[in-house]
Amino acid sequence: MLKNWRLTINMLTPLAVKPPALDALLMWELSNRIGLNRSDELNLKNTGEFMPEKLTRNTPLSQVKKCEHLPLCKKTIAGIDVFRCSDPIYRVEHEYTERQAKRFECDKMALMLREDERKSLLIASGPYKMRFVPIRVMLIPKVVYFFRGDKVEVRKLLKGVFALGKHRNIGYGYIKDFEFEEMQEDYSVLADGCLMRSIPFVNDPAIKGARRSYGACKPPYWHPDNYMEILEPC
Amino acid sequence: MPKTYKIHMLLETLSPLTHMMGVSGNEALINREAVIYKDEIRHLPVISGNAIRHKLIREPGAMFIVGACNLAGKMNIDQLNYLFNGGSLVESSVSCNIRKIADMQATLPLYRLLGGCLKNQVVAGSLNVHRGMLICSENAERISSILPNDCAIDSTIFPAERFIDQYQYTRGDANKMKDIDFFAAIDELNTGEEKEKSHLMIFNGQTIVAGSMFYLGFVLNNVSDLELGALFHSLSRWNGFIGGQGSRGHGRCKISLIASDVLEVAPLIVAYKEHIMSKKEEIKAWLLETFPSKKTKKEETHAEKLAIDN
Repeated sequence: MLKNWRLTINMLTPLAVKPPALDALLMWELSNRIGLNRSDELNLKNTGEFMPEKLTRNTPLSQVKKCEHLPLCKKTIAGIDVFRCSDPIYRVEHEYTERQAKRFECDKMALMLREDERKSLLIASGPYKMRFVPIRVMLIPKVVYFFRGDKVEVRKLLKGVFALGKHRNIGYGYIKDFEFEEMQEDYSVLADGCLMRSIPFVNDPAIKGARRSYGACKPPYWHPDNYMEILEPC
Repeated sequence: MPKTYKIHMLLETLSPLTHMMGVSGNEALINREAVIYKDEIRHLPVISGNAIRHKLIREPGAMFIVGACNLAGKMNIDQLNYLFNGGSLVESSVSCNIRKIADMQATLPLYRLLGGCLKNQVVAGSLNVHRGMLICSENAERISSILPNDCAIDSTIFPAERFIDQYQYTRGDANKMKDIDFFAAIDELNTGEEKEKSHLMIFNGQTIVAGSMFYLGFVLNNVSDLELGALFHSLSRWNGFIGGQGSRGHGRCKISLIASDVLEVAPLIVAYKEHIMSKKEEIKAWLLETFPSKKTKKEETHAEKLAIDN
């Protein structure tokens, strides 16, 4: 059933960098499930060659296989279809920096190396550089999205999402649970005239809480072919 | 059939744990994370997911592969860097050798699990590691919310600050050693002003007391039994130390399984070991092909040149 929903994601651990857009998250998960993210070979339509070009920002958008059949409604604004889901809404309770350490343990490795490889190793730069990298961490108790779409299918997709943000493999941004609440009003794109998500630029003075910017307003958000003049919430 | 597994474990400290995040003056501070508890922000001790991943999984797993394939003393730095540190991206990433990735995933399930960096491509892993959360009253609700229904943390346990203690050690000064005149050469003995200088070093820091418990969790996304076996095998080979000051006995811990979707662990470990033992040659060949040593390359070029000349 297509209805208006408020999705609350309760977070368990602090989040690194920032939470993603809901349509991006769902598209990533769906692409994972149908195997589009499995390898770069599968990410491209032209799989004739054994060693295809790696999927980068230089790959034309038309060649990037993507699954746009998300359980979210779409709205056409200035000729562009955008999904009816708000940007992530969250309150940063505390922001701080943590560090990620990496060290090539020369002391342990010395005897494992071949005789002729036992030489002076540069650890101040280059591939064996010791690192103590800062990670920007935000303590966010919950992330809220408003969307219009099929709750059952969205829930199914989110079942495989355990964490949000960066550095998920080392415990950042773990999700405690998901809460869905049905809404009477549709707050996915506009809430009482206030902009809730990035949309293509329209010169409409009735839209409040928006600023003009340049970027993507539909997934894949990272691809420069999707960049355009947009209005983003502020 | 690949499946997603959640594994919940408990880590108990048997000696003071020193997992530090930095220093304040000459005092080492334990690693902490910010948590909201009763509408206040508290900074609670935590073991980083990065440390758990390395000390409990990658290092023991890599050690096993090195031993099983008899690679000790035969590897180059890039091979070691990949096995023990996940490698580094050192070449431009314009093409993606899928055959190389497929071969690696078929022969080295541990690295399919952990992911890593080949010279010119990043290979994603399938393991998510939770941060080690201290079991204390502030964390009780958080941890209980992710545990299976039949497990829960008693909220009447102590608050986090009760688990934090201090240590202090002194590094000795050879000049102050008894009978130094007898051991040292006459011209090495300090005289005059130098003699008055002390090289004693006092250093101290915070620790988590012995007997504390941490929650550890692992999520394995779409993995086969071999990868599951690789995880449990690495955990079983862990030397039991995490954090710093291990040489002074700090950081001795033990882990126990609370709950998981896995029914039997032992057959998985056996299957993984058998797999590695049967793929020794493929593993060696893959490492050599992916991370060739510069010397071998030169020798080959020279040999090729000779062949062409002849």
